[in-house]
Amino acid sequence: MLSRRSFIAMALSSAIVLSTNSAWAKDFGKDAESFVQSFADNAIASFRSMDAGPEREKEFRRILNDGFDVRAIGKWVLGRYWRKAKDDEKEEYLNLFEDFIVVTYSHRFEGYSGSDITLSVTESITKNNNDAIVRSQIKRPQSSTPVLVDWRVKSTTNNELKVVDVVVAGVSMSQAQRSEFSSVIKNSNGKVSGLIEALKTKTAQMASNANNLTGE
Amino acid sequence: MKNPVAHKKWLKKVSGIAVTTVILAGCATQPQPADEANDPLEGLNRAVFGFNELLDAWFLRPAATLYRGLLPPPIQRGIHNALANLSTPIILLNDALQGETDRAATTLSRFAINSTIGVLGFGDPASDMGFEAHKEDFGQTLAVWGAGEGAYLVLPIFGPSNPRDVVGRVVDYFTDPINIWAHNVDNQGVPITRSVLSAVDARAHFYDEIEDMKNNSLDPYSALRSFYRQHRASEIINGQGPSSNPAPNLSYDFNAPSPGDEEITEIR
Repeated sequence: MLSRRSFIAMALSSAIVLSTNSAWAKDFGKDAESFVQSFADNAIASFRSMDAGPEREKEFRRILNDGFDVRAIGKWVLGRYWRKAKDDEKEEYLNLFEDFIVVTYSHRFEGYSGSDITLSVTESITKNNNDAIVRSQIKRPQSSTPVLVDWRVKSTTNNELKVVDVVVAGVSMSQAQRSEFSSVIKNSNGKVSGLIEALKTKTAQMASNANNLTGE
Repeated sequence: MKNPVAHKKWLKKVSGIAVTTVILAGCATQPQPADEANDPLEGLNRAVFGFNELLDAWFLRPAATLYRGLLPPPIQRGIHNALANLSTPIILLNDALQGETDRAATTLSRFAINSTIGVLGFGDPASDMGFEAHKEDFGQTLAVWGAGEGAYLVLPIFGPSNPRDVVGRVVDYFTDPINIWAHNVDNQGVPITRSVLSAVDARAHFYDEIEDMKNNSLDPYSALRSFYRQHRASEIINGQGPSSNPAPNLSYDFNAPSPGDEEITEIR
């Protein structure tokens, strides 16, 4: 008869063995690959047909939340200041973070609408059955050298696949954003409210720039 | 050489700066939170960054705008290729110093193909033949040999750097065949023209990316710092991902914290 303790130990160790099981992990890498490929194909197709203006931004926000775990990214980007933030600051920050990403990146992708860019997944590296890196190449018609983009894909608590980081030519966007935000907070005496103010100003400024552009 | 004494003096000065920066970097290794860059000279660096921004606004950006406006894209691409071809000797040397024989062979083939069929490097037929371009410099070689990056530095005119890459730049300058030739025939015009053209070409080539970073950042200084440090780390391991051997300072290293991790970085 197994003692209760050794039963738990066995259950635990088998759980560990299972969770690091390479067959499972391989499958997750394959899942992540097809997730990135179909997400990118859909996103590129929508950018191509997107109109300018507020509709575009709305569509971009939908695509963003569809493919990315924006809250997890926002939380991580705040780094060690996350715990220092008050609860209402956290909520306000996460909302502003999403707005900021929508405004900056929908602007960034403006140049891609209409042009024939393609993304092809090249390989994936799997850590375990809920964490993998998918490597891909983006080809643009105006340049002969492809851009190498890596996607960190994780499975969320409700078993959805989401991208949590994008690494462009070796530069992690989350990491870059994080060091920028931490610098802004440091320069406002370690206060998260300083970052919140800066995000508000920047987002409003860029949104009005975008409106001016489309108004012309 | 017309004036060997003056030349030596200058060399002394340069090596003096390099030594000082290495010493400064040595002093600067204090334990820090994981998400903060090693940047003890941030105040000074920000001042130099501001100066470089002014130089950019007054000279480089207008020059790049003109360059893009006046030259048709195929010509711009040709000049970009030709400048890249001129730097292949440095790439070859550093491939060799890093013991990368396959990459050295690629570099050699590229130089042979592009200098001939590619008409002095204006075309890049080598890429179409499967010899794709890569970059190497002595800063990367030092890193492969085990030198750490040290403190972040912003150099006037040259921009983001660190003590290791400053030494790398100096060595690259003195090992470049064109610079050696120019020294021997005492013709400083060629290296200067090449540097200016390279600067304008680079600014024009990455025009959109640079404007994007300036416009979309809350703090362009720290954005550029993060981009530079991450980009160098990736160049050093030749863009190889975590499959080969994970570098601890690399952002897509599996062992590094990443979004979605619950344990946030307080302990690190």
